Amino acid sequence: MTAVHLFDALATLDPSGLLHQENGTADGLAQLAEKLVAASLDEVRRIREYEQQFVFGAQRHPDADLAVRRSVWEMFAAWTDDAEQVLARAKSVARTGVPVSGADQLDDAIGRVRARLTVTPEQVLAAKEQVRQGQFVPAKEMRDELHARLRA
Amino acid sequence: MSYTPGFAPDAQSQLGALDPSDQEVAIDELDRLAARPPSGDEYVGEVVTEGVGTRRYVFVHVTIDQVRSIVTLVGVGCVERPAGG
Repeated sequence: MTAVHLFDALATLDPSGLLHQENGTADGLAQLAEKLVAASLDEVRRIREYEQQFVFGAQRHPDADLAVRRSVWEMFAAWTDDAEQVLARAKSVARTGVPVSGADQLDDAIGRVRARLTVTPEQVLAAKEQVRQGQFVPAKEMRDELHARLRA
Repeated sequence: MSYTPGFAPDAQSQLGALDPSDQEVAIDELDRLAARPPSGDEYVGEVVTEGVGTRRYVFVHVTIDQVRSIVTLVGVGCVERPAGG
């Protein structure tokens, strides 16, 4: 059972979305949501570190390079699924009027990772091979083409 | 020292599939990276732009040839999410 399931179990006990503790404070569920958000942000930070340390700049056989890149890409994909679950819980708490620290950052982190997941490791390696073969389109050419299309 | 920015042909195709405004953002980011090249051989940059009720995330993946002073885009993508959920 993940911590998200714990959140769901506690939320079911108190559908108002707020846990009333013995001392009268009413932010137990918000505190749990904040911990989940912080843990999720830590995790994606760690995956980025793995990528930086073990993927970028490493010289490997192409098959091994692809396997390593794909493993990190899949870590990002799995993280995104989990993070969306956490964000949904954080938003459910926020809707009760109790802000959840870090929720905006998590939303932003999910967007950033989802953007990069639109390109697969296979696509990156194919493009890198083109670079290795000297295939290169100057950026100025691309910008000029874009502006010409926009003017047309 | 500025590097020369450019595209791998496959990344050029990926760029062409994006909205023109996102293409401009990606090219701007590539130019920015070429003007201040990151250390190392590869780098991932992300740019967030705000729209009406939405937020757009553009990502660029570049390789950096520190010897030939070239920054090459090898992957580019974009997603849109509702702003503030």
